[in-house]
Amino acid sequence: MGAARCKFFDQILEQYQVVQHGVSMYFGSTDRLNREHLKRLKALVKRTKTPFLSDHLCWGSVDGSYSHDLLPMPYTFAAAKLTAQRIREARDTLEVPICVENVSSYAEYHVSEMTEWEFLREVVERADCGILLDVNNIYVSSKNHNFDPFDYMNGVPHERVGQIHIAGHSKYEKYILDTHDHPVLDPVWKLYAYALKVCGPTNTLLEWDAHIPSFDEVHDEALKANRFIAQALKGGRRPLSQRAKREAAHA
Amino acid sequence: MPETERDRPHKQTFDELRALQRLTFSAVRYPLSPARELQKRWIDGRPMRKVCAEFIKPNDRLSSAERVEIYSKSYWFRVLDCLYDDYPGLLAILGENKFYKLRIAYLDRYPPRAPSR
Repeated sequence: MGAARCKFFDQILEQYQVVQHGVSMYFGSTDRLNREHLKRLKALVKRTKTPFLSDHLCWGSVDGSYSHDLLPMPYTFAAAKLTAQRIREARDTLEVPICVENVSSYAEYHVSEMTEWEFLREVVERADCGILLDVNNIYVSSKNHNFDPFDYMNGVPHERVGQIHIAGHSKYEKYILDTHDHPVLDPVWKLYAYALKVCGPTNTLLEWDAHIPSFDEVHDEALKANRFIAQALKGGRRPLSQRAKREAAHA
Repeated sequence: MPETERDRPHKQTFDELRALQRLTFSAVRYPLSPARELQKRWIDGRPMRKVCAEFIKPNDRLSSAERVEIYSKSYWFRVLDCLYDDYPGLLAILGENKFYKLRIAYLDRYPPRAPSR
């Protein structure tokens, strides 16, 4: 980081609580964690004093070569065991709690033994870590793989959700792509409202990192989330019966 | 005690997971065709659609190969763009077409070896 950027970065840290989010840990890769990368990350963790660190439930490197992408996991017990082990290892090294984020995916493996949400549960319970629940990613994957996103939401261990992400996506003829370059679409807001109902009011980040419009436009979109949070605060967090879950999901 | 899912013999071992990741990444980083699509043939001459169908599920809209192609295009466009931005001098000397071929040949031989920072 150059001197000018360091100065801005320190100014931000003085004024805001920063929560670190990454894309390079690749907890699901069979490669060992990159120690050099972890060392740099640890220095940053100390500097930002982040309360937790989040990265994705995916893999992306093999034999030391990097895809720079969030590649989907095969939902197997072997993969869950390995991923949980890597998360524990990263947490022990970085000395900060970790939340894993569900990714958008466009492919599924024949070898999978469970659904994505069962896999997420298996990993976070084995690792005893948190979840960064990306509501848009659930929606995108539900369309690409033909599942009910509310089934996913009901299958998540709600008490482990530490943060929520919302974002826009792009629809193509045969699939939906997670592009972070649009306002949040209505079905995603609906799913977000349900997430708040089952998880309780949760801090939320709007992701918009391509074709970014004016600050006011992005800010207004982010503030929309507050209305849903206010609604959830009014309703309070409560365990829902199976029937209530079904009714809320299809309201 | 009743047998739980965790106790049953599983479909995949660590070595098989590693082999699957190797195969998937090989397919994703296999150079695109001149039309910038997934190649029709795999390294050993087998049809790419058959190779992809062995490990990726199709759905009602996309074949296994088309699903792999989403990741393959994303990989190639991303890494090609990085080199495009980093070497404007080479672009000026070689021109668009030769510079494109050089970037593919280079990245095929030397895939990225460091995480995103």
